[in-house]
Amino acid sequence: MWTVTDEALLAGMAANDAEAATAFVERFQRRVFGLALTIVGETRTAEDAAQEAFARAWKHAAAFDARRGSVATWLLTITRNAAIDMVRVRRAVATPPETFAALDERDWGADPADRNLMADDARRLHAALARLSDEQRRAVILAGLYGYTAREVAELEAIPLGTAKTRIRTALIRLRGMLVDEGRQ
Amino acid sequence: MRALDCPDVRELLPEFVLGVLDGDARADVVAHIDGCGACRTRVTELSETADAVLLLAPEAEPPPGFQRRVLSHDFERRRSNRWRTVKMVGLVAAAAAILSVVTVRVIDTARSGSAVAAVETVPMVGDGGTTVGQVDVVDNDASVGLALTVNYALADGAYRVVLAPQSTPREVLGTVTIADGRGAWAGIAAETRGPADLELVADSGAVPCSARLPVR
Repeated sequence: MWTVTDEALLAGMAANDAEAATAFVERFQRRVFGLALTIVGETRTAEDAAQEAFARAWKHAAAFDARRGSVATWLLTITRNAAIDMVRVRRAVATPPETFAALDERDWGADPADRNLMADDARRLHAALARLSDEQRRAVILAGLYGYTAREVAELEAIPLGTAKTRIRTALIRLRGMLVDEGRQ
Repeated sequence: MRALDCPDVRELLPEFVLGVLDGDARADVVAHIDGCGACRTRVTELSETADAVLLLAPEAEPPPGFQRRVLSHDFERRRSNRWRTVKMVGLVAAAAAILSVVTVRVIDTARSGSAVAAVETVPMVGDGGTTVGQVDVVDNDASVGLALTVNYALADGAYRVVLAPQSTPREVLGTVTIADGRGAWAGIAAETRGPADLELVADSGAVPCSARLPVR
């Protein structure tokens, strides 16, 4: 079977090609919906967010720049932003995301059970997360995945704003270092 | 807006790339990195890690009918403007569209068990026989759709995409920019007779890689 690149499907979608669009949605819908569901915590809003993500991707497909990352990370970033836009309006007070407890209690040292297109990257990330402190791991997941600002992290964790900022910063920089080190091995 | 120096910006970059920096601070960072290559590089590095965090979310099966709803919501609305849009996006997108249509049909056909081979994929080969990418080739009556993807071992920079038939003059089809070893280009070439190569040509004139296109 021929393997069509993500970039080729996206280019087809930019030209309003129905088959390319169908293949693109089919290829990414589980990943997009899974991310939306993780962020918003319930199916109906997650479906709205995922649908909005594909709509935005379609609208901006012609502007995709392969130099700035893969199609998958571009689409997931769009999905995250669409999902956060939907939950932010109802998040006047910082409360833990509904799916956060499951992530927080996960065994980060183990291989991710989820076998997806980017399983190797996910496995490396899990291994790196296992080496962070619990506080740093929570801070970077709350900010990076759920879109919590440092102020919201501070409220949620009952810590000073400066401490929340330090945790987010240290966690991301340590993750970066560990992923780069592993990439060199 | 206040002018920040590099140490100030480096403190803020993790929140910036995670997309959780507030508006004023974000504007300060953007103003700084606009003129600071070193901090821009750091943004690129940290963004890769921030992107990776999104992989933490497990895949999930959408509700029944999701794909149909997405496509009917977005595609049908755009369908009426299809040809105008195709003209606007030009030859590159048109070539990619041709490629996608035919390739998707090949996949669908493969699933149904019959055999159609409307697309051919050939390797783009570099120094020492290393495969640096691929070219998808689509027959389309009097022209050929070409979609080039480079994803390995090619030095960053701009390269001319050159069609080099053995029996007719070479033709520059376009330019592809390689960054972090990756780049993509799609376009249309006139039909050629006999063997032809698709080459990437550096400013120096060197040809770091090429693909032998299928003989038609």
